[in-house]
Amino acid sequence: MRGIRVMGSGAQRDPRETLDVVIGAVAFFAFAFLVITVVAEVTGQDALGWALTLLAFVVLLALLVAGRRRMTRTLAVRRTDAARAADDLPLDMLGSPDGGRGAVRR
Amino acid sequence: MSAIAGPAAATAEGRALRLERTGTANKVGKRRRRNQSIRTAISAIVIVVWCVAPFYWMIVTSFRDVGFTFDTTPWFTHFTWDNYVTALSTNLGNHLGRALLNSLIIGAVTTVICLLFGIFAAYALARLDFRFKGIVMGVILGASMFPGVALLTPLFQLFTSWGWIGTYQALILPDISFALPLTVYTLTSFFREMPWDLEEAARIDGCTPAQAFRKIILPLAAPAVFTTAILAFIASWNEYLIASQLTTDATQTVTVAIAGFTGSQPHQEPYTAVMAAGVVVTIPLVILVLIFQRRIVAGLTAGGVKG
Repeated sequence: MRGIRVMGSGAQRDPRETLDVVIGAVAFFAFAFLVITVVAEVTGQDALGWALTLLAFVVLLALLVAGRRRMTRTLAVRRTDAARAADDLPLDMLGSPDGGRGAVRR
Repeated sequence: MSAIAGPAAATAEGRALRLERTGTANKVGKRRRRNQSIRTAISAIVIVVWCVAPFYWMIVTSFRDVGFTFDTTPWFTHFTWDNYVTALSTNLGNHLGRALLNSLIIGAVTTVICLLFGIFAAYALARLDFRFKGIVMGVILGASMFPGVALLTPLFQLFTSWGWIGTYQALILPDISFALPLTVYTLTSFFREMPWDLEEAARIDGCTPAQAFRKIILPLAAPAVFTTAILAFIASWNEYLIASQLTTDATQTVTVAIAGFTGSQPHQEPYTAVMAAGVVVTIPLVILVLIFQRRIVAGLTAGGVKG
């Protein structure tokens, strides 16, 4: 579990943050409509309209969460590729400890 | 002769051509810049007229004799101060002075509380990395988009059962819930662009996190804080819907007081007196904005450019 930590001055923003904001807003409205639907149902009022609105929000929320998962996977693949590309670089390009004479090789 | 003069003439010709091209380019550039300036000036004039025209009309009507309320002359005619006397008089049951004081108290308390919570929340959202940060911001955004009219009946029932109807807190609490998301969002976007190296330097120099925040971050954030304070105050000052239902005569705000205005003539809508009251109500906001003008401009432009 990720704890609370102070971000560094050069830290980049998580690209998923914008999607998270949208998910949060939709989730808020979904929760509001859930409460309204339950209250309408319990008090014997017509709850069909509220329930359908809730359904629309839940579907939208599910789509957004699926989109976020796909984004997470894409980012993970991109990170792995970048790390692999960095590993494949010749050592003299990275500044090898022997000054590029080739004594230290991986 | 021609063999010797040929290259020299060609060089001179080329230079002349180059100069001509540069001159033409300069002329085109100047013309383009001038056209751009004219377009900008026209746009600015249109925007200013669009924004100022209703206020100008309000002032003109507020100084017009009640018998000429519907006169459409666009400048001052049939000048009188009577409308201001009517608006500020308590003989007709109007309590504009008291309403002004109520609005001032409610707006000031709302602004202070919003800033107190908003600054810390925005700092945390901009500076700290924690799980569900984006979702927290989304919920704040959702709360700010929630229609106020949907809260009216539940709030009325709740405050009636608490005995809060006609009290200041009955207006302050809903006003905070409307202004706080605005405060948090504005300050978060500002804090995101803040040079955090300064805070880190203060920490290296021996400041505690609280001292770095108080002595380095807060002074740097002052323009944004002032801008946000003004926006929160205006939001609270202009609130009508909740105030119209949850106040009594003693705690009426200006928007409610003006809506219930009575004029000097029976069976007549007191439009001119309402306009006069509108001018009186706008003056505190104008004064506030003028006092903090420099800081507000700095705050509005801050956070708009990266780097």
